[in-house]
Amino acid sequence: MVKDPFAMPLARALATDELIRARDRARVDGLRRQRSLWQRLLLLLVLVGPGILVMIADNDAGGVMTYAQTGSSFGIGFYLPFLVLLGPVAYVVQEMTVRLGAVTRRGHAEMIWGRYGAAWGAFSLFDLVVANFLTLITEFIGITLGMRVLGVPPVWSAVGGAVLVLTVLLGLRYYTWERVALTIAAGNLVFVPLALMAHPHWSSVVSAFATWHVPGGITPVFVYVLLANLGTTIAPWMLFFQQSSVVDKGLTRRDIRHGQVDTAVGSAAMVLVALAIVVLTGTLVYHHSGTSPVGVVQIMQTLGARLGRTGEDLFALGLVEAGVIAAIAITASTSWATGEAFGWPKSINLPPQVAWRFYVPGIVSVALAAATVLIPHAPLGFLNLTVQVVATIFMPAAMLFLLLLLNDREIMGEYANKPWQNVAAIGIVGFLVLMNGLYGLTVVFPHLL
Amino acid sequence: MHREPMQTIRELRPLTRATPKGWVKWAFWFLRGYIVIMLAIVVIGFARGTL
Repeated sequence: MVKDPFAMPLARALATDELIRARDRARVDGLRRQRSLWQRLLLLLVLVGPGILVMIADNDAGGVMTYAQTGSSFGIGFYLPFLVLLGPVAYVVQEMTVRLGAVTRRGHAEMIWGRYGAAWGAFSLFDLVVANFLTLITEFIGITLGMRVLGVPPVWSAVGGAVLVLTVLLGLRYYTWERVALTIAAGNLVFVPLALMAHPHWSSVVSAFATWHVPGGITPVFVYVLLANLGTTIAPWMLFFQQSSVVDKGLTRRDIRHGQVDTAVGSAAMVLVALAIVVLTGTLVYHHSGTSPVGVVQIMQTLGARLGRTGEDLFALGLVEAGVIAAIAITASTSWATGEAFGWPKSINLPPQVAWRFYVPGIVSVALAAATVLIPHAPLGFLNLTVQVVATIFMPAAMLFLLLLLNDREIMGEYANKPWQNVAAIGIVGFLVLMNGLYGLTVVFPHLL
Repeated sequence: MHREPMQTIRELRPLTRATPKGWVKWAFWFLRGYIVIMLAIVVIGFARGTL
């Protein structure tokens, strides 16, 4: 008697999943044997993906809004060089997930759960799922805001966004899913021509790197914006996403070098887009707003007044793209992490009818997030703030687990962190804790700064 | 030429629980303290409306 009606189809699906991955590996090995420049380039193009995807998805709707508000409130003086510095920070953090995923062939949630026990595993999973859900809401806020500028009512844009994200997740196998996501991610570059359309004063851009000028001095708003920029550059979901992505793609120790190139290219693209947004709003909106925070709707209206309808529409399109690509990545991250924590079959290669438990957390979070933005008078501002609070508390914890795992020679062997990588990572955790502490002090003692 | 054997899901060894020792033990205590302090700040911030 067959006890579980899904058991046989699942076994077949798992075998198919391995077969797909083995076929992908055979293709990679075939390319690796070739020595011509063209074949080596092709190998790189096949292996890149998780790094570029995670970094571009990090420039999500919330990130675009944060960068736009940063440029509008503080100009380009301080934040331009600061964002350039955040590129290496993001690389150092994310590169560790490449090595961890390729060496252990396990996701981040599975590693924490298995190595440090169910309590820390459940803590990490709970934080991740909550933060991912709240972040998804901000993505749908971005999608509906941007589409409204383009003349589409929120109901259609929220439903359309959810359908697109779920179709991509449920209907494609990993490699195609990744390629489709990368194609959508390319839309993030729309902010670069927009920045050029603003005709920035290039001498001011260059001098920003020399002066690091903070308009208005160090105030609670400045600390808050600094933390928001840091929080939007390195976020907990990114660690879980890239490691799971590396595992699902089937990358091995031999692919680590390509994974590092992938992550470096992604970091550069992320910084380029972030700089473009700050230059754009720092040039066109800054002098019109002072140092008080400006809403994204007001920013788009100002851009429309200065650049014309095309400028406003392109910014809105960029906001929509940022929301969609991040929603695709975050939904996958939620499903992967839940599957890893509970030991379910977990791969985008698996069909939904047999690996339904893997897909359910992603489907539910997308449906709820899309529905939430349609609730009249929903406290979206409060939710946006809560995202940052949860992510802020969780990030040093997630980083600590990453550091512990990367120094665990029992599992990492020769791929464990080198001293300079530990110094850099501990410096990043220290800076995060320091900035969180400083922000916490301004919350408890509002007149401290 | 070195060739890595094909890796499959079935080859994964089971994960064993790590025993925190030395600086790792301190890191976990630091993490517990950090979480408690941050949660307290969040509660104060929301209660006062300063967050």
